[in-house]
Amino acid sequence: MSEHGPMGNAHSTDIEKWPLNPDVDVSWAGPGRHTGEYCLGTSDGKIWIIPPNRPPIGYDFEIIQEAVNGVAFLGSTVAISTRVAVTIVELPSSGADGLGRRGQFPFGAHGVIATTHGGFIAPLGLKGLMNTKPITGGEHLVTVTQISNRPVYYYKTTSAPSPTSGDTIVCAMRRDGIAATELAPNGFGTARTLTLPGLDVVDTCLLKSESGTQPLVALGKDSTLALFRDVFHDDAPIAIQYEGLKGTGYRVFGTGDDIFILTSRALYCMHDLKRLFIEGHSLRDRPIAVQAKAMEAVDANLCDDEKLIVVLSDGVTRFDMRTSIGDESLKTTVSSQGSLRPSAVARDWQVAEGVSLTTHEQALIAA
Amino acid sequence: MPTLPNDQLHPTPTQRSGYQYLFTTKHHGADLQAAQWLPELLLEEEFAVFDRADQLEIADGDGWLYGVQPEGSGLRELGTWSQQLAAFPHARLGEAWHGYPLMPLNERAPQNRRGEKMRPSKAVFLKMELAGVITTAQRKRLMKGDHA
Repeated sequence: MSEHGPMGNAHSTDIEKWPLNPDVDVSWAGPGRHTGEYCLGTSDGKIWIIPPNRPPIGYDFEIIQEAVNGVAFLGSTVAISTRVAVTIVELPSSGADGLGRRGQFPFGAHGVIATTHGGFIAPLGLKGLMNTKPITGGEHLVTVTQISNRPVYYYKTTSAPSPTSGDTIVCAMRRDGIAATELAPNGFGTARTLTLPGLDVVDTCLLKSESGTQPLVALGKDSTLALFRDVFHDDAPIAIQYEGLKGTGYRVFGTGDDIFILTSRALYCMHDLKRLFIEGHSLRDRPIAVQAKAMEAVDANLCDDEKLIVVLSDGVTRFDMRTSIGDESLKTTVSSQGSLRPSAVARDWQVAEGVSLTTHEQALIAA
Repeated sequence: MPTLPNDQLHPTPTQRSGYQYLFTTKHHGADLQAAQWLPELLLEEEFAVFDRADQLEIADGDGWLYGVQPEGSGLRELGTWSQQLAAFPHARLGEAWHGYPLMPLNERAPQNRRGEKMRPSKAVFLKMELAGVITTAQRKRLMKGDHA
């Protein structure tokens, strides 16, 4: 464990921009193990866990030398992804020193998430999706799954408890669109793929719904939004471009009634867009109230469903997504009217049902 | 694409070091297991990425050069899998250089990598930032394998 924390002059996590020490180069930030806890990953492979009202705890994994691009927790087990490998480590219990059992999957990933069945999922680029399953003695069985006979790029994944059982897993596959599948304890089912020619999907977010369906919002690199009423059944999801969104699309989030888009230039809040979509309103000609805050962002993640923690070029900022929207910080509107109209709408998706998946077992290397 | 029937030498060398550059069939349609330059990218644009990398000395410790192509506030895609970085392996004195779009992730197991490190190194990304080719935020994204 590291002795010197990432914070500068304060330990408080209640201020908007965290006062990080200048030598801490944060590459990833997101939720920690519990509600109210955060985690930072650095460009030299360290992670910092920031519990509420307690000093940060640092972990220096000598086997990780690359920039952290994802961290996920399952109890005391943490998975850390970089462009070189996915590392799974048992963290010591409170007060103990040193690290427990560790293993490394020697392929790079674009991130890592935890699933409800107690495993980790990581998108491995052309190689497929890594899926781990805990087995006896703290070990993990590792498999790699990919769409059979069709090379695609597995870029970002998101998951949510499935309306039926297990987890819904959705993968952004760049120009190949998205793939949606269910993950049960015995593995993946078949997949449903949806491709919109010309749309480069870089992120997805499963939306909460009380109707038993699985709505989804996907983000294109050009900040096009694709909205799916039910990712498993919607044959004609709507893809909308809003003129005035600046920068390269990075991340998309849906929380409360709103959709948030993070680009290379700004954080945008699309007011009420999630609610209007979920309730079935037509979005084709409807102006959407938008607020934006200019920022040079690197990445962001949703914490506790209400806070957005944003990695900037020079630090980390946290937004309360329920209460900050009306604050001065987000009052830079994107147009004099403060609203945007759809400038282009597309629905000509190519949909494939029952796409078979191929799974191979792989070894986790003791590290 | 430029799908090339034969390897083709660029008519002029790089401005700084006078390196010759070879457009290879391998990375222009002949070997689909290898990284492929984007079909829309002109050969002259491919050379410009190399020339700029040499001009700015964006090199690692092994003498490899690395390039990007800024486009608006972002980076242009150079390869068929949306790659935004290009690598140019070091060529021996008197031999022509060649290059290819670089995948952002390690996709080969260690036993197949013969001790290679992941390219490019962090130092290369920092050189790109110091040279003003990429921003700090782009450097941080590229270092973790994300698009910028």
